[in-house]
Amino acid sequence: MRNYSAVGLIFANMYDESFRDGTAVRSMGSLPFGGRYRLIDFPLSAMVNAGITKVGVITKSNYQSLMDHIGSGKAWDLSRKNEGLYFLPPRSSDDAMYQGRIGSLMDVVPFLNHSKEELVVLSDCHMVTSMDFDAMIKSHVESGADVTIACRHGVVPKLPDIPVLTMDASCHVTDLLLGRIADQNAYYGTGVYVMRKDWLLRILTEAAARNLYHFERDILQRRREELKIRGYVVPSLVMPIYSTESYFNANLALLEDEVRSQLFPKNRPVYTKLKDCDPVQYGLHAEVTNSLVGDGAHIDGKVKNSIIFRGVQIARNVELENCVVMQNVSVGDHCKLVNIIADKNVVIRNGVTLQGSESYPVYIAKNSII
Amino acid sequence: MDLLDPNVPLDLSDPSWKIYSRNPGMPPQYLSATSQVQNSSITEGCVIHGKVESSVIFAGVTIEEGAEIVQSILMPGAVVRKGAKVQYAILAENVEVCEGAVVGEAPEEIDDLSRWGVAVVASGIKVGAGGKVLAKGMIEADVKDGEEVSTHA
Repeated sequence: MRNYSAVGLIFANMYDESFRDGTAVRSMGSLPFGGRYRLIDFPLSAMVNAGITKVGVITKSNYQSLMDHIGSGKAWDLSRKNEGLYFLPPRSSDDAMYQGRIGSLMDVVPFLNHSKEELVVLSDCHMVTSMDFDAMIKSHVESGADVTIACRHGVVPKLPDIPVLTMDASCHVTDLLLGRIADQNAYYGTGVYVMRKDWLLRILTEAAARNLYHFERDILQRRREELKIRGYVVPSLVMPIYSTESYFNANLALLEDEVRSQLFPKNRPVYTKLKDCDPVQYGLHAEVTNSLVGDGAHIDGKVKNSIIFRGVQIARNVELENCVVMQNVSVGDHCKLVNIIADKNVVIRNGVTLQGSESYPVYIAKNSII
Repeated sequence: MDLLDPNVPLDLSDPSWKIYSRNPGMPPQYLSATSQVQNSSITEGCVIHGKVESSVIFAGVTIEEGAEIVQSILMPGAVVRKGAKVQYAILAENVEVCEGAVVGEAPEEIDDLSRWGVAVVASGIKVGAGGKVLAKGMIEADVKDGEEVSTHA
């Protein structure tokens, strides 16, 4: 039995602007990933696996595909009479979109007031991880901190306002900088916070009254000396997505056994919308190596080092290398694609050759016809 | 196996006639650099390092490097270890075929075709390393390492 109760809040649009190729038509949370998932599947599954049974999904814009994907929350066992999944689109006008995390949280104060849980777990969607939320929450409770920030040590991702932490030996955060200090190795926040719900509600009331809307800057950084802020170093893999290149690399990283075993642990599976697809059909001329292939694909060509999503059609005499090919893309005869990300429903007609570079993959927009 | 034949008119991927089923919800299948897969139907959760030809592979099946699956049906959770060969056979759920074992025989390898038939291994059975199951074998008990088993009707 867990000795805490927690409600989850996922920010589906946070950092949308960092990866515009992917988020032009959808929220960050809806971004297809790994041959079958969408980014929101990771924080949502992780919360459910930690025993959180009430989750609010905060969205600001482009949330149609997200609503379609999550539905009632059934795939995560959150389609319930009691608690369950709550979709939280904007209550107020467009202005709220630009008012930072606190602006978004102000919108969901009624949701928080109606929740009887003592703790709140906030998560963004831009860091792919299957971290153990239960372990982080327990660590937060034990430490008596006001707020715990999940962090990882490594090259700080190039994101505006990403928290960079300085901690003492007992993981107490002594300093917090915002924004990337070029190419440094440091502890950076992964967009996951745990705090008491009543503490959060007090902060929100005060912040709005003082016209303070940036959670990391106006609350955490400004008040770092009076608050007990603690860093929780996530012991398992975290893959930040903040650009076309990092999205490309994070997908291709799934080709490594170690990455897959950390992202899909047997005791904490990643749930996603179930699609009743037919199995992958490999034709007589298929040559698929080192690739992840989603159900419903029909492959008769050469595919190497790639991530192939659902329903993709690959004709004979095709050569695909280092590609991320999203749902329902069809690649015609004699095509050659290297270092390409193809968004959903793209049609590539016969004989097309398209090549990006590893550090600058070419992104083909959704529904394009080449 | 007719499902592998393009001339058979049953289209499982027809979006206007979806076949609904229980979905195990596993990660997409992974085909390694050493895999060779042709003319087969494979579903989610599989990890394929070996050769798969003209076969139907269910969810969560593992096929290790050097293993060969030919004209066979492998049900969920089956594991085929290094260098093993499964041909013209049906493996039920969670069957384990250990290193170097051979299950089933190809009709070309047999002189007396009345002896030929599909080999079947029942659920949860382990075929020991180097074990051999002959054509038409109906295996309901573990096969020991190096043991050769056949059943004649």
